Amino acid sequence: MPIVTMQPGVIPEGLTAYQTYQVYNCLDSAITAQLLPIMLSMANENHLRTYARERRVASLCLEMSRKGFPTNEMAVLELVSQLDREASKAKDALHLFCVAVWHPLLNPNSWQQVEAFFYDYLLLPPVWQYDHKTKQRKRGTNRDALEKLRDAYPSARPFVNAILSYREAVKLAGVFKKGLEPRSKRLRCQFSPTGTDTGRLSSQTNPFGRGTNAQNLNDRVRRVVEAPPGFLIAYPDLKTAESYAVGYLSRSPRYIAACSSDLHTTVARLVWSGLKDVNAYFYRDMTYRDMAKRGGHGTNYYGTAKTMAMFLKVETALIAAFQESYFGAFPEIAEWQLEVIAQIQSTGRLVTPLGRERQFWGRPDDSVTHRAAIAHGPQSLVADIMNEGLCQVQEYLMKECDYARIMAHNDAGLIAQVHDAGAFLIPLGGAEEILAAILEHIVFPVDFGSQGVMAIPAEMSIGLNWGKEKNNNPAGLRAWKPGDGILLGA
Amino acid sequence: MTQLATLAKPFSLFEWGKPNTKLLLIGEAPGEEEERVGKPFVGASGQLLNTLLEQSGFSRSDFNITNVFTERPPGNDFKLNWTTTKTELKKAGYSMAARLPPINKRYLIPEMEHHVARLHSEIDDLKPAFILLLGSTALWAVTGESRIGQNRGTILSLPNGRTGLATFHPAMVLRQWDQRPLVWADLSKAAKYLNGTLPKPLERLFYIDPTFEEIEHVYEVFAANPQWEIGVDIETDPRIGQITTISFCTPRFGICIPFYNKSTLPHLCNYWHTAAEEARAWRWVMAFGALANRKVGQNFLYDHQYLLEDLDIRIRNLQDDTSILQHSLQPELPKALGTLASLYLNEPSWKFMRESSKDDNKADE
Repeated sequence: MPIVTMQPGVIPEGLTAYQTYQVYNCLDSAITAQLLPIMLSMANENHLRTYARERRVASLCLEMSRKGFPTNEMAVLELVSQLDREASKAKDALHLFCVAVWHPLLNPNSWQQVEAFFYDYLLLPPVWQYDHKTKQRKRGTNRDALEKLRDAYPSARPFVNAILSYREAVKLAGVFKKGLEPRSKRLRCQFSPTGTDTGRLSSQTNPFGRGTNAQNLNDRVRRVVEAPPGFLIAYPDLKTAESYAVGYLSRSPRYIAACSSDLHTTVARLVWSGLKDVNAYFYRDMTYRDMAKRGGHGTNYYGTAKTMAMFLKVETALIAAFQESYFGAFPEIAEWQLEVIAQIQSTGRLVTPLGRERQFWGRPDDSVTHRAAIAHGPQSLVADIMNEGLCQVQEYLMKECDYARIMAHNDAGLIAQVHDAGAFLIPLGGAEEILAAILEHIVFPVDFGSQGVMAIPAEMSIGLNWGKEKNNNPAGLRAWKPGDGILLGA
Repeated sequence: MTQLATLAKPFSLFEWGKPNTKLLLIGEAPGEEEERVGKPFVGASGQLLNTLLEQSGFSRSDFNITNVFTERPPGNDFKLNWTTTKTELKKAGYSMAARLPPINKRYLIPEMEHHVARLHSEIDDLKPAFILLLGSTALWAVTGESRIGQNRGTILSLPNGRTGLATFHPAMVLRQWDQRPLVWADLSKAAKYLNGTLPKPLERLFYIDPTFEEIEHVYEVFAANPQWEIGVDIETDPRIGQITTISFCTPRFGICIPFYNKSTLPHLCNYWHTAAEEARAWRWVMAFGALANRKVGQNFLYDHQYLLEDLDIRIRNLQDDTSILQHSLQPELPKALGTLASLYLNEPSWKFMRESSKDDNKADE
């Protein structure tokens, strides 16, 4: 019975299980083909522009997902054994605490035991989480729930810390134990252009169950990502990219000018006029410069004094005073935020200067929607600038560059995108020329009409591994600029 | 209507629409406000429903409105209606023969079954031409099927030749506001269906369980029509990292090339009888991939990684991806194929076929 004729709107019956599976597969591809012209007919010029960009980025994502990160086998073994030790230490500590207060030993992998311990034995008020399998709410035992318990109840703190340390170490060790490609020993993670609402790339475990979120690797893990012999890791990033975007979107000449210098120092001097030493302490161990950096970022994205005070562990009145001075120094930012909110309340639709449209479906009067909308402009703009820049660089590396063939044969070139930075593997021979070209090609100027052109400058660091250069990691990433020469691992 | 009036006592919670309307709207159960006023959908979810109906071209009075249940369980805990498992029912001496199908393996307690009988009597009395089902309970009470996520947004063939459409309950939208556009789209689709502007579903012809002659025939048809855009999709078994089937289809015509039946016995799992035959089938996949026709996929980054891994199969002229297109059109809305079809097409839900094929396979074993 090889041919199935489907009457309109009727799912065929009387097929074997495998035949049903095949019809299902056919319907998937037929409906995909059917959808395309209908969806294209709904797209305006902005949608088509974004679609064209995302298709280009999708091919970059495929390349990155296929290549993966080259690793040093010895360093991986060392890291895994270190993580195993940490997991074991955390578990021992947990058992020690448990023996003191609760007779049985708590298994940190068992959500039932963790739930019983915190909610039935310690009698803490439940933090609820939604269980997608049973479609019911249950008492939370995931990271978010445990962190809430830790912050709210000191009695839970040592237990939560031990459980989270254990889980993190086990998870990370697991990534390397079963996550490396058997042949190439590369760590392959999947990148996707459709994982976020802003257009930022997302990263996760690949379809074969290997890898992890490549954008969330800490320095210790990055150190095991090591360039193969004859190559180095180049890591260009866009300098204070989102701040530039905030400056241009809010039409604030003072803020744009501040971005061109040391942003946080300049902001601190503008907010606290007459301030002599920006590194003097503002509150406990937080300097004026730190406050300008962290407070400024939150304030740009419509953070309230109360919420920011909670995160920064500072008194609310201090944040309120800071925000008043901040908006006094940059009144255009406050005006821009109100414009965005008005836009959300009238049409719910925002369009970035690069034509990315987003309809906000959240409640138009909800501050959560407002914050998402205000953050959308800078984040989306930087994501698109970064992606366009990476496409330009990759085009150069794989086609125009003299070493294109060598890089293609060694799965080199772009290997990762991390928000406003990219990681490249480039050949040591010709590195100076290639690095200068990357710095040139990664800049993607955006025309802001009467305000001029926004060209976010890039900074470069290079190394033999992806960790930061430190005394115990001399081959890590260090700042590089044209004319510096290539001297690594010294 | 006398019979209906009798059936609806003591809490009728029934609202008549405008005279002679043939549309019926079914919700789940009254809330506190509904019970106090004695009318359905008068609380917060009622206000949201009114807005959504108006935004999609209806007015509330276009519908007669009722609920599955006409009373609230103690403490408004609706779980109490569903706490009976099969074992518990049997223990209590109830026969399973006439039981209504379960939701999430939980059966309706027998004391509440008269509500469903009442609802069916109402439907029989009213003889509605179209039924709008709000939420999984309403869907279940009318069809026996409770998977609202898979069945929402499609025109449903209901018992006794009636038609209808299911969507999320407004109370759920109040909790998950980001589902509002889906409900709005579903209601708009119902409006289009009723005024005859919804496109008709397509007739399709698929080759399944193909022979090599049939594969060649489909290939030649595609090659002779290079202007056709072809959809490509793979199914996989992630446990063994293998492609199980791959299909190449236009909206009306196509083929599935099977490889691996993951649910059957090990000696029967390969569709092709010899390694040489399987290699020949893969070569045909390569040939389809190399066709000059423009190709389109859905979340094809996933498929591509499978095709390139070990097999190194490249899909030529793959220009479009509907999940990326949806991300460009509406980044906040879901991008799954089933949702896209429910939003933009008039096709019956087919996503349950994957699960039902699994169930059948288990039964075969």
